[in-house]
Amino acid sequence: MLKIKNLHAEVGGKEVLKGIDLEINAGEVHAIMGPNGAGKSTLSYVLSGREGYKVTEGSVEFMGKNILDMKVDERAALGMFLAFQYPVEIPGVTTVNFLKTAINSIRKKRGEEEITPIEFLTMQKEKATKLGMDMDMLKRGINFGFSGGEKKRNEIFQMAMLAPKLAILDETDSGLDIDALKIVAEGVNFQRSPERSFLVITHYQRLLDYIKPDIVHVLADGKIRKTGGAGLALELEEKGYAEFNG
Amino acid sequence: MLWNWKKKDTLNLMAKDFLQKKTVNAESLIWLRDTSLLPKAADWIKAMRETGYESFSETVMPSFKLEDWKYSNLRKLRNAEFSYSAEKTKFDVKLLPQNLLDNTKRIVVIDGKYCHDLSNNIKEITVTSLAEANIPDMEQYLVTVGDLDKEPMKALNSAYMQDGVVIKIEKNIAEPIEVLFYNTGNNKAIYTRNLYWMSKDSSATIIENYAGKGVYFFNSYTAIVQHEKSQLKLYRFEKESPEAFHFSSINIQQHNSSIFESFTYAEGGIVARTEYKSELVDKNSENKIGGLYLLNGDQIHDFKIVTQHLEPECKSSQHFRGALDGHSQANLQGKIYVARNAQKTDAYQINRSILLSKDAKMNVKPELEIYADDVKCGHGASSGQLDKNAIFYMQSRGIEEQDAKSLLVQSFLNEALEQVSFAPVKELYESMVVKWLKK
Repeated sequence: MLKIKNLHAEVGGKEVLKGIDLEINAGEVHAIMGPNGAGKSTLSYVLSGREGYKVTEGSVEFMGKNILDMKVDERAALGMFLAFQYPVEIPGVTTVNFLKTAINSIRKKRGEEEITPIEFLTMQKEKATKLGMDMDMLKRGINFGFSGGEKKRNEIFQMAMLAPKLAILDETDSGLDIDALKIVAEGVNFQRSPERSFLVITHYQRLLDYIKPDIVHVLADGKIRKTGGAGLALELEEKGYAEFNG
Repeated sequence: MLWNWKKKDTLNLMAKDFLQKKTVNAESLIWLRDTSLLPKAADWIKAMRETGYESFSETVMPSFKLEDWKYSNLRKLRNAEFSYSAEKTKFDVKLLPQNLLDNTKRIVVIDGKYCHDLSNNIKEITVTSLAEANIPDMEQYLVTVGDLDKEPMKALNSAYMQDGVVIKIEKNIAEPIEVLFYNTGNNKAIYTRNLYWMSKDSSATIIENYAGKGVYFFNSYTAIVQHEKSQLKLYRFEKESPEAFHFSSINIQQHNSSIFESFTYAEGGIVARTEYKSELVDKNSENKIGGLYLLNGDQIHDFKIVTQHLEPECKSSQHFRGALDGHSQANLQGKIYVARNAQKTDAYQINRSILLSKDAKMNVKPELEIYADDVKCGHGASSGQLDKNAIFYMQSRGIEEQDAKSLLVQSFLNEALEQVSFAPVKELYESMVVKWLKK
């Protein structure tokens, strides 16, 4: 599903990713762990196509297509989803209106019919109920005045609505207390399926207690230094990142 | 002779002289004193014309030297030429725009002149042409309010106003009243003066639609008097021709417990200015003025909003938002004046704009002048670009960049529309914003 080969990227003229190789197959959950400044968030932005993140070498193939020349929204239409570390507040645009626009925009790019209002409402109700989302919140401006936990839950809700092939979770656990963390993790777990893959980026192991990864990678200084099973995360929790620093 | 108006329908008139800072000569004064333009004009109208004329011939063209015109750029106006005509324009009425809303009364003013035969469904209200109105009790409201030496456009209107519409509302009028100000172009200078009179306990919704074709210079002075407990909603659509010059001034006097709610949607004209001057002359009134400006290309739009609290316990607000693209420029001067005895005043003004291009420009000058000590007054202004994070966020959900930008601008502008309490007009404004964004 996702094939990253020798990926180098720079931000503001500084090389942050220094040759990443990573392959994620359908249905797999990969975790990327690493110390601060390792390039974890940069990787998520490079994959999603954010402006200012320049790929200098290597390739990224997603769903069999080279995505490096694609715009952010085109990658989303292919089935990529990025759950933000810091979801943006947009007063004035309601989550409902935003999602309807997003879904139709994606459908248009795929050459599909627009979603009918009934279809949309049914899906919205179903997903919101599953995630314990307050329907009134969806009628408010996107994330406007939301708590940290509410914002992250809204990310997971949007993911559920857009049903991506690959969901990248960028430090979704940051700023969450344990209860909020559990809710978010449950939201992710119910979306796991043989057709959907996850790339979970995190600094701490605790999120992985709730979202069980198939494979764990350690990213430090722009490179993947170690790859292992779920046990690697526990090991890191114990020893820290000392052996990968410097 | 240039001023031989009897031989010509149109005269290459004084706007040009005035705009080129020439002192106007005695001949033109003679022409001015000739009342044939307004044959039934009362003496006070004649007197006002002369006062206006004298003021502007001394003041010359509005320039940055006048505080109220500090940010204005009237270069385009200086280079334009206009003619002036006393005759009614021959015009194919089929070309008139449709009503903005269904089920409205309609009053039509073409090139500044009230057209009774084109107006309809107006039995419930008293509508007369200014030129033909016999209105001694209204005289004091029709006389220009303001310091003409500092307000050249008002002076110009005082001197040249030909006609306009007088609307008298004496009860609750449920059906909105649409007033169409249509201008036929042909480089005409149009001066119109209107009066909206709200009797005690009356209420109405007036929708003004400004539209036209080609090049013209439109200068209007509207006086509004609201007697005790009257309520007026005045919604304005300034959608003049893209080549037009538009200067409108709205002058409101509010008596005890009256409510004035107004909103101006401005997207027309090449150089335009909208002025509101409100006087809250008695207790317990409410004055809400808002607006949206959507400009692109070389458009310039000025707003000058002055709200005067002269008596206690009144509330007022000025809330404007806008989006500026291309090389456009918006200037907004908002002033709240609170007199010494206007205690318990609650007033605020806010202006927020989005610059969609690096060449667009916004000038804001908020002013508070407060002499009372128990008041609540606030102001705020901001001007910025679209949030790049928000655009990326929306794109990451599959929305195209241009659509993401439009959605952000739309939501930003829609917040100003929250103050429009009449839903059909609010929806109309919303749809116009969407249309503008698609341009």
